[in-house]
Amino acid sequence: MSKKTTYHFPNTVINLINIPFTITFAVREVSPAVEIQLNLVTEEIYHELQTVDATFSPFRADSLVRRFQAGDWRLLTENADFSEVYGRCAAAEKATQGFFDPLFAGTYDPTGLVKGWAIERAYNRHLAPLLAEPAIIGVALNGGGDMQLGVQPYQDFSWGVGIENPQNLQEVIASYQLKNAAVATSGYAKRGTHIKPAAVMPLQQVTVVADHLVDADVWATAGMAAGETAFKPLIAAQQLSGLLVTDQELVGFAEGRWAHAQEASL
Amino acid sequence: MLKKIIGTSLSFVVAVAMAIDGYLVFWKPHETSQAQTTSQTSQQAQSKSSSSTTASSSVSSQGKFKNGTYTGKATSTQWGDVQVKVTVSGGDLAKITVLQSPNTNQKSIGINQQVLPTYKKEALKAQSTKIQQVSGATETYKGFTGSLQNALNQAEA
Repeated sequence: MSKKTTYHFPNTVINLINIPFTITFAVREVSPAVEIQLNLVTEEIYHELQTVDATFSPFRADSLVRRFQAGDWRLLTENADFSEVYGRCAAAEKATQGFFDPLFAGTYDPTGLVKGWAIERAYNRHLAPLLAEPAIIGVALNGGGDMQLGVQPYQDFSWGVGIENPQNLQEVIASYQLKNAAVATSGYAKRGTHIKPAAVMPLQQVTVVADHLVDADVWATAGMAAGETAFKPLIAAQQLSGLLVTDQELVGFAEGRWAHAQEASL
Repeated sequence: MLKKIIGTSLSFVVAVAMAIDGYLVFWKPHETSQAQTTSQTSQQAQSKSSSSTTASSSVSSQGKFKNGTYTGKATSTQWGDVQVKVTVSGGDLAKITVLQSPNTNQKSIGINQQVLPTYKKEALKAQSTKIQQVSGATETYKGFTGSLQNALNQAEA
């Protein structure tokens, strides 16, 4: 192996929809060119996320979601993004046996899918192309704990992703080293109104690691809604990878199989 | 270095010019046509039509949607292609169907690399860690200032 390379992680934060979105580069050297690129891409992503919010926010009276709720069903065929999200929600509901439920509030609300979808799309459009730049070794878009990550081919670098301890938000309880991947975590403590809890719930947090954030996010949400017992057969059937945190233990799983806990230094 | 700066700024100027051009060509006309359809919609709303529409080609003489089916663009997902289909009957929405083709080359929803977590329950020290990203249930922004992710962002910039 070559000598140890030091990396730097210049980053910016966008605050939108009450969620902090962190954009991070992994570079060997922070140059003015890198900083300019970071600022430009931050602008681009900001505008894209703003558009998504204007379209899909259930809180904005003029959003397309609200128009649809008020009966304007033409959006389903006339607006490509709206149509795509509606279709994805339906497919996700079916694949998760209804545990992911865009109608949980009694009316169509795609909020549970839109954040992951928006992050993944913004990543693909704006960050992934930057990996063609020799100076930019890695890129990441992390929106409130759900993220899409990437690294240039043939590089030693991996993103270190810590999984938050739901009992103590200043701690991580596990970590992954990932190159090109998506990580989503769903839990109780906070804003998960899109989660309908099962009656008894020792399951505190579900993390899913996948190629695409839409998938990771849908399955993390479905896992929380399903509870440990109902989620385990789905993990096996769908060959999911991730981590369950119950009030008793940590249960890791990789490609549908249970992984044994490995104590290690981070 | 100077060459580089000139090159970069030149290409930036070109990009801006292209963006403005694209705006004028594609967006501007779209905007005006949108304004037109909006007024059309409000007129229809006044004439008691419950299903006003902007797609003039599919409007019948009564100002309602023609009976039939309308489909949205197909989207490729992990579970196959999905496409929204709207059925109109009596000039109004009768049914929403989501067409879904089976995913013929179904692959694991997992990930194209080895994924096993390592575990350690201890406070993360921002300065001495190999972690750059924190995954957790989405927090409200109020909590972000004191969050681990914020500490990492500050420490590793």
